[in-house]
Amino acid sequence: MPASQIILFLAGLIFWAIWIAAFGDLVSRDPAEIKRGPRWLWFVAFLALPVISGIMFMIPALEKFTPWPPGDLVFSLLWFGARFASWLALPVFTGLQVPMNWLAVWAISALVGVAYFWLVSRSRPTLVGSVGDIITIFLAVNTALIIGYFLILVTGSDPIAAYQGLYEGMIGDKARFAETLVAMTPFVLMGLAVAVGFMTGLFNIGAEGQFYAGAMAAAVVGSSFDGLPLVIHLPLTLAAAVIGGGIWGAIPGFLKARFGAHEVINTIMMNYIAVKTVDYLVKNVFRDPTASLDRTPYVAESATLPIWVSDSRLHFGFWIAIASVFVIWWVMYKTTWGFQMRTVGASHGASRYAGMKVGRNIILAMTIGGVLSGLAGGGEVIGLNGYLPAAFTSGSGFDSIAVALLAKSNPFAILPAAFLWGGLRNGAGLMQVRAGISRDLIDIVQAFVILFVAAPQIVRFIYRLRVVGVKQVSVTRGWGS
Amino acid sequence: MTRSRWFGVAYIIFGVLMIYVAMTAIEPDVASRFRFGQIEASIMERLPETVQTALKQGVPVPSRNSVLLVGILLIITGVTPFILAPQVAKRYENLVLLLVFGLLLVAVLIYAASGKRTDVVSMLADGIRLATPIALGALAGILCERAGVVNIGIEGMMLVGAGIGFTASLYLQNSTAGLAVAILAGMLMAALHAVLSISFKVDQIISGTVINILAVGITGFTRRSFLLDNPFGAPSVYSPIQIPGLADVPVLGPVLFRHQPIVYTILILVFVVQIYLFRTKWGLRHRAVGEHPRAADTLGINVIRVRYLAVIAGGAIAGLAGAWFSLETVGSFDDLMTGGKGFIALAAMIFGNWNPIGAFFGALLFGFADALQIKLQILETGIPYQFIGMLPYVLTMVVLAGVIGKTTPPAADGVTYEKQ
Repeated sequence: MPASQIILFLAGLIFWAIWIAAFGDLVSRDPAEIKRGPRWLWFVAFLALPVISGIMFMIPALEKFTPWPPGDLVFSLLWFGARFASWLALPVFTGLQVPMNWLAVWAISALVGVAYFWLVSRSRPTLVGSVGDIITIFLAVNTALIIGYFLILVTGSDPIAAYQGLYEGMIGDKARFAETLVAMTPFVLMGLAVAVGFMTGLFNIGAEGQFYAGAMAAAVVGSSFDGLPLVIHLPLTLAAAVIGGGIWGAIPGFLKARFGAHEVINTIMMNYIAVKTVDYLVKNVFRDPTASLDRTPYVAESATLPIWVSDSRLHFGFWIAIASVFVIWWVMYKTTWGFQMRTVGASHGASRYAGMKVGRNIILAMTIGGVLSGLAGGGEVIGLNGYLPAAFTSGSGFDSIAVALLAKSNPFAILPAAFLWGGLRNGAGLMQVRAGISRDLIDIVQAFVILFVAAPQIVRFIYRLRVVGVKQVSVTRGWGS
Repeated sequence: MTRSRWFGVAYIIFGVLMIYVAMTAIEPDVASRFRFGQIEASIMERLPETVQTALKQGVPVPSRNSVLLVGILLIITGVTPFILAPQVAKRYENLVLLLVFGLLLVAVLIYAASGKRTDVVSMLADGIRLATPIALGALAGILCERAGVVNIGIEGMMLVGAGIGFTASLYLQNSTAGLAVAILAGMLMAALHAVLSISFKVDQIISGTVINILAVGITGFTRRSFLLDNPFGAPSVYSPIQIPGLADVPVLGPVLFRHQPIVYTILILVFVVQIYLFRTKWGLRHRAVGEHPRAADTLGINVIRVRYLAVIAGGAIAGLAGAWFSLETVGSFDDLMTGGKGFIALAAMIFGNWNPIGAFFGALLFGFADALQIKLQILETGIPYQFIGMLPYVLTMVVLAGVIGKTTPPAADGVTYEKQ
């Protein structure tokens, strides 16, 4: 591999990091503290880079912008927006496709950033509140990707080919983008499930078991009625998924509320129990006798989620996930229930003193988590395959934790986090083909992402950032409270 | 309703279930026969005639009546918390739970073996063997938590120990070196946990989860990159060591003294850790850091150092437990082969009230449940194997719900320490 490309890659990254840190600093700071020149001037100077380079980057894509599938403008716009956003958010990828002359734009911008620190701010970048959060997460994701880059180098494959494959597999054309959205859908719902737990001070590792419970219930209800109209059967099937997942989530919630048994261990045990129960039910009770592999019968046409984008597997479950984001945001931030749950998450003692029922809120939060994960499982069954196989391991339980951590439990931030996760999973296939590197590498990269997001101090240490007013997730309460 | 009464209801349900099973699924006048391993001829000769034939053909136990008896006993146990004063019922809760589990395991075994013959000794030996990773994991957890660091990442440390240790033993063609690498790998993961949770003050449960996720990635990557088509043949697992003299004692010998090496290490480590924690000055410091780090710091104990050492020592033990899976048991490595044993170990630790010896008995409970599960699959009882396989997981949940709150974790467990 040419050394010049590695240098280019690293140079682009360093410029980008300086730019991000400087811009974040500018946004975070009190305007009165910015001593030289009006703030808008600095804003323009900083924004020039992403806008110019972004437009340059998008021009070739714009030429290919023919609405596909015919007439589906919403999907095409989503794709275009996602490409632009990933250009900004994942410079590790885009940096690989940078021609030499763009480096000049970057260099100028980085010089502006350096000048900002030396002349104006005269200090380490200091990020306040949510800006600090966003920029730390940005740096965490990209640092993990850089580590992955060198891991590929160590194993003797070509990292540039690998990452180009990963990026293209994620978002390269509309067909792959549709697949990424398909992969992202369960992550959105399960990430929300974990996030609701975090907000209530609970750590729900059981998203996977709740997913299976929902999937099983949906597969059974979806396939056992015939001739029902769609408007009855489809909601009925989704309701079954919701109830199945909800029960699976409520059990550890009850054990926690009533006996103080720690939800981390109980949800993990419920995962194993779910896998075995589903295995039994699919093989012995609900097996499709005509099929050669162990699976449930196909769900009826009237219980299948319609395809949204033709010529792809992208179904309307995607919109259910998007809607859930808004619903959860509304429940958690605009209703008494949500207020109570968040108060319980902040302090058991204070909420009990205020007359709230801690146990009831714990059960409620776990049930909501179960409902969301169950919906994810049901959606996968009735949206994608139409049946539930016995050996159905998604391994998405841990992924959903990662998504929730990455989003800092913010319902809206779940969307980009789930997109990144689904995209990495989806792009791993093409990466494996292009560079011959095992797709498990993505697992390691993702583990590093979580590591850096969970321990932002590491990232701040690497990039010499100072962050003020950021709250860390806290779920440890000992074993028996 | 108090906890004892909740559990009373559960016992009654179990009891009714037992009686139902006894009346419907077991034929009357059928016996379950239990053998007690090979007993040497010289000892056999000295026993009375009837005992000799019983031992040869298996000791007969009337199946239906025994299961009925257990069912009735369970119902009586379930009713008592409603009759006794709550304080009295509360006092004996844990003991009753242990007894009920013992009875349940026995009843299930009798039911499964009805009309058949089965060897109790091999099952007990299997139980001890299968308790090994759980006991080791529980010891690792005790070391960490007695110093005030919650360690949910034991599962991940085990997995990395199993994967990396096995890879090393394959490429170095030396299973002892593999064991050393497994321990080292566990220590490295533990060091990461220590850095995250002690120095960077990351929430300890999140840090542990990061360890678990990282472990899945590392071992999966290692397996597909180095193990799938490696140039070496499969290594042999560690051979059993017969303790001279003791291995020939009837019943006890095969149960306790004919095991592979890592099994013996728990018997040693349990006592070492117990003595270290409760009989040495370092142990006193260790516990002080977990109970009241501020006070310990005031007395000149280096809290941060004690916690680091405790977590890394725990990681070494977890790495050893990992070696049990790949190097001692099967001689290969599979993704996720630890199967939740690290989490079950935490339940055993809580069951044992953060005491090594108590945790060891907790681990034995899980080990026997696991052995029973294997036995049931061999005996072909007609119970679906998936449900039998659930047994340890359900047991963990019940133990956790039944025991927690009655035990006292170290006071500063899970609390990050900030020096003032």
